[in-house]
Amino acid sequence: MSVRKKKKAARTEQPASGPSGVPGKPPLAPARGPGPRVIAIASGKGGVGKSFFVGTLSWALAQSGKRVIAVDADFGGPNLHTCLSVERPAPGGWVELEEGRPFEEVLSQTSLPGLQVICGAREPLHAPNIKTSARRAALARLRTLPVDFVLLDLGAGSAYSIVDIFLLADQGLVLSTPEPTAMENAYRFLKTLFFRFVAGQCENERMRQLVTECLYAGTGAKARSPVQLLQEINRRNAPLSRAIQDTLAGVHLSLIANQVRYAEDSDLAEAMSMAVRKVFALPCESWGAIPYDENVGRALRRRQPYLIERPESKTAEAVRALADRLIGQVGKVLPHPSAGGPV
Amino acid sequence: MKDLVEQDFYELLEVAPDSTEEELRKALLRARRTWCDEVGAAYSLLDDDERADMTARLDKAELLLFDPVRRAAYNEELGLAAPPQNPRNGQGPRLVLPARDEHDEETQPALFPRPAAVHDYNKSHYGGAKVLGFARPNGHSVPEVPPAPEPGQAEPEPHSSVPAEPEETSESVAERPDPAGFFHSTDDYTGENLRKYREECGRSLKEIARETKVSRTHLENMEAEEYSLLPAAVYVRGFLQGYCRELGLDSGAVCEGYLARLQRSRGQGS
Repeated sequence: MSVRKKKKAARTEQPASGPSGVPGKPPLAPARGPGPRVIAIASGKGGVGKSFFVGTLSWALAQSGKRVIAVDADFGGPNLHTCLSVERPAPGGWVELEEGRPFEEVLSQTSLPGLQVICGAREPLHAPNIKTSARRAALARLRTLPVDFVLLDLGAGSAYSIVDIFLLADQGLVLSTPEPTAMENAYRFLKTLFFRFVAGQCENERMRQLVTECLYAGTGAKARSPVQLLQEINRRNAPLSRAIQDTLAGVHLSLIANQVRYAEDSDLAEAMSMAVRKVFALPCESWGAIPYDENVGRALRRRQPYLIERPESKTAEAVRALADRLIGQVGKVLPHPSAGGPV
Repeated sequence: MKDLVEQDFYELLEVAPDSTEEELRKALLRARRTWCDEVGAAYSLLDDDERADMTARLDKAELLLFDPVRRAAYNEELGLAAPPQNPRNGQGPRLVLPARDEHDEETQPALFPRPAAVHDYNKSHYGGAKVLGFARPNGHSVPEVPPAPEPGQAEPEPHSSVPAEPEETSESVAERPDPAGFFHSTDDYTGENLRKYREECGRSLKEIARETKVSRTHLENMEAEEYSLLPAAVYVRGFLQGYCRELGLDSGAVCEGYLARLQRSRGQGS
């Protein structure tokens, strides 16, 4: 199919649309070949428990014998090292990774052998303002490591800098709590994600122009709904629309409800992901709910990883189930990298 | 919202066309909780008009899908191979539709009436057969299905906005006054008569608002015939359908009579 070839060729010319140092890898779809599965975790609103979730999920994965690198990609508000009780952070972090410094200088060891962290604690203050191209180079380096999972703990908000890193991953998880504020911001993040996704699929300036025009075509906000944007693109350039839909079909995106206190909210992620499928044209799965546990805060104050403090809780059980789900999924899609032991 | 409006009821509810009534009931409940409540799971995604529109659509879906005759006609209209077989026990074979692939896209360039085909949801996520709309995830989103209630002993769920059965239990019917005493012709479906009848039924607006998810203000304005404060007729129709369902009135006749009055009044006003 000539469209595909053209698309691939254009990707290599246009680094803006070819993510993560993996040639031709579509956004939010697993990279082919060996290498870790890169999973991005975002939420829109802050304070919904991303760092807790990433910390606990990476702990659970490592306890299942997987080799994991948890990355604090919340450059403006790093605290993943606290959730994982890292006692001696490495001198460097993401910035040093971008600069090409040796991995020993950027990977901090946790008390669990298979789990390493890239901390943000000692990062320079300009860390949040680095260009996405440098982030891409850093992520490409991480993909060369003989590990099973790389988890990216992203910051709050829907800034392009955050959304673009999310799109570099092999799959994305979006967290929300049952509060309307968290749902609203999760939707905002997903809407931004959709538009960045579509813009990234354009092969050249002319097509990007088309998307921008479609984005602002008509009057009122309704003309800018994601599905209508695709309809408009389809009307003006059917091959581009088909190419975008092909890529969209491969997207691995899931929603998780966190801090769920009441039974009536247990199906929140199902309902929200249905809304996302219908309104944002993104294939979005529900990955269920994680119950609220007041002991999360207690564990943090005691500087204990949550799964050590409360291994038997329902919350721990839910996170472990998600870890199993990830492991099972990767087993199917991605051949296990044969090289190397723990880093 | 055009994209949502273009979806047929099965797609809207993300159920297979041969779903049992029990499955439909659950899907409807979930859809209502997602879309109709202002702070539901779709919070911030729809504006007031779109939410009213969605509520009306779900009302319509409910009226249609729980009526075997209308449902069969609807299925035929959609081009489904056969009407659902024995919808109550769900033993009928799952309908397999002609695969919708490239050929269809040629003849149907507006790709978006069918998001299922766009994402190929069945294939990519659930490995399901090609059925219209969305296959259900393997038990993830639908909790265990309790055995279908026997006709006649269906207990109304207290928090459900979906009435347990299209036909009411004999008990509640007995409590209701005879509509014939209130409405003699379609001209009698006035806001005031509807209010009188509702009061005679012993139902409060608050209660009806809760059950139908139509705001109390809209219901009040409807009974007071404050046409200038009501949205477009298509939404009022949705409100009326919910209202009639709660009171056991014939919604077809009520809509006809009431909306004619509304149109006449608006015609004079403009």
